[in-house]
Amino acid sequence: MDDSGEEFVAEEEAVAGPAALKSLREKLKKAVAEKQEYLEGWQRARADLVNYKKETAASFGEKEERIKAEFVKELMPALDVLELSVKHDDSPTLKMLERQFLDSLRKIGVERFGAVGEKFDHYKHEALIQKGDGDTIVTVERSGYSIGDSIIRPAQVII
Amino acid sequence: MGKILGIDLGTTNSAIAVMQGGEPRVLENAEGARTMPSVVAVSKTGERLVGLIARRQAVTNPKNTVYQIKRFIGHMFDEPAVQKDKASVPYEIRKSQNGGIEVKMGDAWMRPEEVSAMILGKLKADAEKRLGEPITEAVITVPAYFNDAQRAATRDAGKIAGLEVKRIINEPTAAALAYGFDKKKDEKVAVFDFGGGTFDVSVLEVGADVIEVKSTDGDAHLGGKDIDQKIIDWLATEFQKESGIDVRNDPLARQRLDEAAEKAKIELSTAVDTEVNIPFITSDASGPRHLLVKMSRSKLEELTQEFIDRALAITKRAMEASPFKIGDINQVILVGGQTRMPALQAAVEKYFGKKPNMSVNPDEVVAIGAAIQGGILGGEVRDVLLLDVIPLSLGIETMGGVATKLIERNTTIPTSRSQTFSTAADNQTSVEIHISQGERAMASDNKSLGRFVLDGIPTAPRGMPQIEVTFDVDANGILTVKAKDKATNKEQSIRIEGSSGLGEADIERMRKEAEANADEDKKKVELVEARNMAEQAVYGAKKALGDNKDKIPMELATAINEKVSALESVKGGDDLVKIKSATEELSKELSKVYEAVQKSGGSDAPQEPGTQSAPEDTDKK
Repeated sequence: MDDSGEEFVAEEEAVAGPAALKSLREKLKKAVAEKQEYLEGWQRARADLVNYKKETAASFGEKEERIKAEFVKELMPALDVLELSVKHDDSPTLKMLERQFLDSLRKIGVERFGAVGEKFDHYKHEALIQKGDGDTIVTVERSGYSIGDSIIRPAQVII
Repeated sequence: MGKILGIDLGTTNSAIAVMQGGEPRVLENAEGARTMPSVVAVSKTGERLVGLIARRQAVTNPKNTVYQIKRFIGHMFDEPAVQKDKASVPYEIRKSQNGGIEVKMGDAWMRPEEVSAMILGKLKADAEKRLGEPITEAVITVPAYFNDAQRAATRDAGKIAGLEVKRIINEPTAAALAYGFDKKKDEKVAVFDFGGGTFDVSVLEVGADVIEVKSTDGDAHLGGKDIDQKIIDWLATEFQKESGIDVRNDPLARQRLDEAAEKAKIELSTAVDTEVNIPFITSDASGPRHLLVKMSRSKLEELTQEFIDRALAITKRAMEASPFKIGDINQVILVGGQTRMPALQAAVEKYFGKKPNMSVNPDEVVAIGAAIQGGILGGEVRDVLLLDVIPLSLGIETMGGVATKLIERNTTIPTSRSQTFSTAADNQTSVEIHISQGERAMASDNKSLGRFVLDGIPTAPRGMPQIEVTFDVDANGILTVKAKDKATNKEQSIRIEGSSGLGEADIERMRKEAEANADEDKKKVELVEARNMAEQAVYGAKKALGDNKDKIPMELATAINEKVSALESVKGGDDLVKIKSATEELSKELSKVYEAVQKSGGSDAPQEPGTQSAPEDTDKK
């Protein structure tokens, strides 16, 4: 860019009068337009950074929940087996184990949900089979889990 | 002007991305996922549902849940493909007055573009929520084989959703953009896109400012879903062999097989075998039954060979239809989650004779390309704004010859960093700033870029003057180093052009050397630091003795002098342990001075000079 500046002076010296003026005006116009474009790009980059920072700060709490949710997701196959086992087996030991598990989850903010008799809600439930005509849950195949306002996994239900 | 949203409007899933700070970024939707099922429904209560939520209620509401609408957009009702696809979807489809298509949702008949608009509307709303600003413009991708009617209908869908569609671009073109191939001229690129339900392959030629699709081919009914189905069937057969029970007709068991099959497929992309484990899949007279099947990668490959063969046969057709020979192809890009399968990658590599590229997430690459196209149209992506990084760290030499880094390597430029240093000796009136480049710990092992002297520093005890050193690297990599004495504002600077001046090979060599010598360098620095500490302790001791002559008992002064000479005799040597222990002993002795001074009631307790928190000292001139 420095080079073109030097050339530009030499050229102006060679052409005189109105022609030079016209050419200068054109160059000025171009320079102003370019300046505006660069300024806008710069402002946009600055704004992006500021917004990104705000967003990162806002999602900080969200992130902690997300890490917990990821962890619970990994545990879920085991939780599902436990839930199914309790259903099939009356053993008090199993029941105690399940209760302990759910207590621990609750302590980190994770709740289990989904119950027979509830109304089907597509935000919380995933329908596996429609048996009746209504929208009441008749069987919970697999419970759902949530943390805060977000659903880690919807409950899988038959309605 | 707001951001232009890049939208990958897919048959099964959709994704969105924008340019932020000059870089593409995939946006998560309101549900926290990076892709969204392209499913739309009108619930029994008349509520419009889009994405995951629509899919969750699909079985309760099959007639009003519309998926794969992309198969119908821009088509005429009587086309044979439409008639075929119509048979495989549960929702109602009819011929519109002008011969087009209408699908039924709730009480209304809707054109496919209206359904697509609902998907786009949700993507738009999610992007707005994520970014906190309104989005009014978009770039939407379509398959390369889409005709004018299909493209126009997609554009209309955008309009209905309240988006000004700045451009409709081909999916393979977007993928090439995401890889930055538009900057390389005369590249020939093959894009192999194995999606959830469709397979496309395109051959592109990248010229100056244009990416041209030279040929495209595909199968609208070949995708990851077929592979899943194969695995499900195999698992069910295995289970039947063992238990005698056919679970294929049990919808609950199917659901769990479905999940297990997808999980196994994903696991077998990285592991050579996996265990499919579905407890309580069903029950018979003997009680609950569990499915436990071992699956190997070779089994999966055997099951899916026919699909791979089909995809390769289509790829061959596409190559033949292009003006290029296989050897002409410079790059092969993989798109679609299914391409993570090693057997598929191997087949592509074998056919093209080169490793396919999948360094950009194959689920997101198309959305990213769309965002980049949006950035180009919005003026956000420009060559002048390509940001570079500095290849090697930049710093100055400090006391004992240590290289103190001010700017770490891989820092994006332009950038500016400053740090405050001080003097190493009493009444030092000048400092030398020696600029070093490289990763080694000692300045003498790095490349010297230049040096200058800042003088006229008012006389003061060591450690008192504050010299601010600023490194500034501009967009062209030109380094300016400035040193300023904060007391007098006197400053001195140097400009170093082509601060790299080093070729790729030199940079690589310097990095390797730094790695190889890391341990030894660390030892050297430790030694220098110990010597510096020793120096400070000696200085402090002498100062304390001088300042408090009358208050220090004779025996203590003698003891300190002994420790000082002991330390002075070892501090020039290389024995780190000796230096450290001698320093420690002196410090211990020195602490008694405090007590003595305190006892004698002196208020001018000696300041401990050269504490750790003091700024680092620049090398003595």
